[in-house]
Amino acid sequence: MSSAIRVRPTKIELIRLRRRLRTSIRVHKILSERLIVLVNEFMARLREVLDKRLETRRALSSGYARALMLLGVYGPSLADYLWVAAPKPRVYVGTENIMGVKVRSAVIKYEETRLPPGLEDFVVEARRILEAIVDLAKTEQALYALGKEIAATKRKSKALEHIVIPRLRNTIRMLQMRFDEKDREEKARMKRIKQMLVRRGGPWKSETS
Amino acid sequence: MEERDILSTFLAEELRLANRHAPRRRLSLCELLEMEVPHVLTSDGSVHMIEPRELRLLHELVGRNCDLRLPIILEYIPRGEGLYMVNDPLEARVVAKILGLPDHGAPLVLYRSQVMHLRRLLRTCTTILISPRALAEDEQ
Repeated sequence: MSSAIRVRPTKIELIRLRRRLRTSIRVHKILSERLIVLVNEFMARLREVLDKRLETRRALSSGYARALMLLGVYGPSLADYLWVAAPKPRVYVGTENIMGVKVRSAVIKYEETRLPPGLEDFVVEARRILEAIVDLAKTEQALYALGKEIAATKRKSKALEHIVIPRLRNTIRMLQMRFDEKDREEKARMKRIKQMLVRRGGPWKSETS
Repeated sequence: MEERDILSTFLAEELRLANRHAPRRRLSLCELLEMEVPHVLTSDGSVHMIEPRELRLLHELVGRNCDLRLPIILEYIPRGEGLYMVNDPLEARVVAKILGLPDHGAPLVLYRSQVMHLRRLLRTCTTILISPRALAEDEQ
């Protein structure tokens, strides 16, 4: 896949290419490290998603059981009462930045209100359910965003590793060989000229003899 | 546009964007604890929200320390193999305490595995940046 880049065979171009190669290697190193960090974050989030799914399911089943029990005690007007009396949560949605990857984040805030003792426990449980669901949503969204970024970073890193850097190396080698060849030709030419001058008996004669 | 021009632009852009998630101004732990929704602004203008859970953990560790600036910066050194550095003495002390390392002051050098462990505990309170010195070398 890698071949040489078509450039003007000048020393300036060689210097430029060497500088570009140095930068490419550095960028490749940075991208590789970024990729490692992102993959680690991804794996951590993956484990988190599994745990949070279980946690949410547990919280939901226990919450439903308690809600059914309360419904039996207070009757169907319970939902209307809670809608009016229970503290309304406020969810602030923003972003979180993981190595340049923007993912959604949210913070839940509640107002403090007094409720009858039996209902207070239920509201606390409902808060736990809400927090678990928001946490799960945050983590899953982060997982998708990280996955996309990992794919993009991997593509860039592989392109640098397998195409750009070898191509630059080949071009530099080609230019270097060309310059070396030119030098050798120049040296051979100079030698021949010197020999010719010696043969003709020029100023070189006294020096060589 | 020639191939080499595209390449130069790409490389320069990658280096320029390497630290786009750096905080514009770091805030103290006190300031963040007082905020209703703790957050900092990043250099690309986006809002980076900080988990109140992590702030509470730090609060338990260091108390109401107003000198501790967040997010804690972990500087990646491209020369080493997965080496990171914490330059601030107070931040180094806090990180050493969290990771259970002996406190030798700043700079604290961390390995990748330690950074990953730290990120698991303080995901939003830490940020990884590429060393500006390394980036400057590239631009020369």
